[in-house]
Amino acid sequence: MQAPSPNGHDDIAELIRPAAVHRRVYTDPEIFALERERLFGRAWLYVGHESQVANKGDFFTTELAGQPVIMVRHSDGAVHVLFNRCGHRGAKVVGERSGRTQAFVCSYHAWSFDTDGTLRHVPAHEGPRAGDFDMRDPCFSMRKLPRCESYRGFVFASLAAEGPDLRSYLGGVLARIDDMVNRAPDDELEVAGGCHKIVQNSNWKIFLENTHDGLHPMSTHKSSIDASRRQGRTLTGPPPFALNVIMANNQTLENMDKLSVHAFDWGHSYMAGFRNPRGEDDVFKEYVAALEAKKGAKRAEEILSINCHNAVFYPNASVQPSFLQMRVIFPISVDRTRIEMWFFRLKGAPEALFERTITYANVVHSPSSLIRPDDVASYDRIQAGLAADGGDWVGQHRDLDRDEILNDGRRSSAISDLSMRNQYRAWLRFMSEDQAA
Amino acid sequence: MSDRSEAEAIVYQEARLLDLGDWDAWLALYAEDCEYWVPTAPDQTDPKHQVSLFYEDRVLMETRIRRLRHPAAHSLVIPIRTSRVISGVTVAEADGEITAMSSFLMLEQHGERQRMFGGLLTHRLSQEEDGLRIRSKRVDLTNCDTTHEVIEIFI
Repeated sequence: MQAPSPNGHDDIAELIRPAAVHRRVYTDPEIFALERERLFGRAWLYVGHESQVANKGDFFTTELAGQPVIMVRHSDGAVHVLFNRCGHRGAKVVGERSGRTQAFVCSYHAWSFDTDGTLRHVPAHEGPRAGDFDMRDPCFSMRKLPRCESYRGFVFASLAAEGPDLRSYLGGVLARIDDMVNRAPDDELEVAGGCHKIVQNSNWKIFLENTHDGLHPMSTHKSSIDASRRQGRTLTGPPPFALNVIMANNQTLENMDKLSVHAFDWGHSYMAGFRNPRGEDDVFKEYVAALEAKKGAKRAEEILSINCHNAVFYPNASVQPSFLQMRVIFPISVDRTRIEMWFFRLKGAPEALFERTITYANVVHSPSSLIRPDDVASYDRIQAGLAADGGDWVGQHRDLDRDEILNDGRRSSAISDLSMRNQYRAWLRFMSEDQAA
Repeated sequence: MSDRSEAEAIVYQEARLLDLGDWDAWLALYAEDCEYWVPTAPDQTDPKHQVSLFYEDRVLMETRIRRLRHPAAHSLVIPIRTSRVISGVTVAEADGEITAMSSFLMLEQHGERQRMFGGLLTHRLSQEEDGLRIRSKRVDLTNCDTTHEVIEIFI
């Protein structure tokens, strides 16, 4: 039977069934190109954190939907997201990852722009030789993205001018940003500690589908679970934090079934935690004291009692709030995905607490993580296996029609396929041609 | 100076044992209280507040070895093979501490994927009861701050 083509609303809809998706969503380069235009081109995308541009003139470059952009703090204190493109011949203006500047100056013909993208100076442009050129025309500026909003320091932008505002878009998953920020005694986070960068030979959606997959740890991570448990048994004292992080993947399906997944409109979701975010050590106690001093014991306990494993900000970001980790997804091609991992310091917490965040980062998110290679092996195998004509449909049927319907979303267990079905519901909404975001 | 040639020998031996996958003999080159560090930035000075590609003590090094040997390590159904070249070993001694520096290239083959790592090795060595041991190894990769596919073998 002829597989449906991706052109037009009806054909896209044929790729998504209630409990399965057509394998072409993972393997077809035309669908990947359409995702760039209709999904990444319309959604709110995570750009960076305001702390990365703390001072006037600070900038940070990144990519949204494959397009080079700059996040910058302007002289009036506002944060802008600009296309990293000269208004003259289209050269990428800023080459560095980050820095501080008074003006963006293009290396080619020295066109000079203010940090909000306004064209300020063009060498030798006066007189009749410039034709009708008017440097005040905004088409010659470094243009801003159509929409840019920030929530508690988390900066998002959209390539589309129309659509729901950021708060409406994120809905119930916003609470997970609150979860992170509230942990700081000073109610502020700061990006710190560098960045882990990894590339995988698989479609970006395969990675997102794994985020709340409670079925996989016992089998996928058997080697690292066994290794850390056996190592732990050789020690005279309690296992170090790093080993506990690896061992925590040893969750039976019964345990995972008790953890909930909440799913919201637009593809977002979060999952309850199975690693203990609290420490028994002196450093953690010092942190709790600092939190209680600022917020009182009752509020501190409320904040520390929340244990969320991770949250998805569809389509390009995922956080692990308890351990202050953030993953940003950069799809390169239909079968290649780059992921950056960023980390946060809690302002007002003892500096030694940040060492836990770095240890967690190295153990879980480093390219050398003992946990990661077995996940990546699974993703690679999916990408390879889907090339086989052994079936067109990829199942997402667990606990279908058993979701608990809530006011603002749905809930099920961490061994259901709720979060995947929820992601494809949003995917279809964006990808359908005649629907605006 | 016999210490100098012993220091150089350890650097070469470590590379050979890693290529052979002889983890027990390799780990025996290290002091009990040892450290294995591959930074993510050139001139990185802080492994506690900046992330690293590897930052492992003996406990984590042993855990990695256990995983490398595990029959259910899915990523290793096809084994990884490496070949290292060490060059330009210099040995310095100051305040009783012996430091060996060398350049290296490491060729890695995993199935159809071939990749290369290279850079500067810094071995800090200490005199133990039965000879020199590696106190710490620091690997400054030329590609320390780039995007990587998964890395499973010690570099």
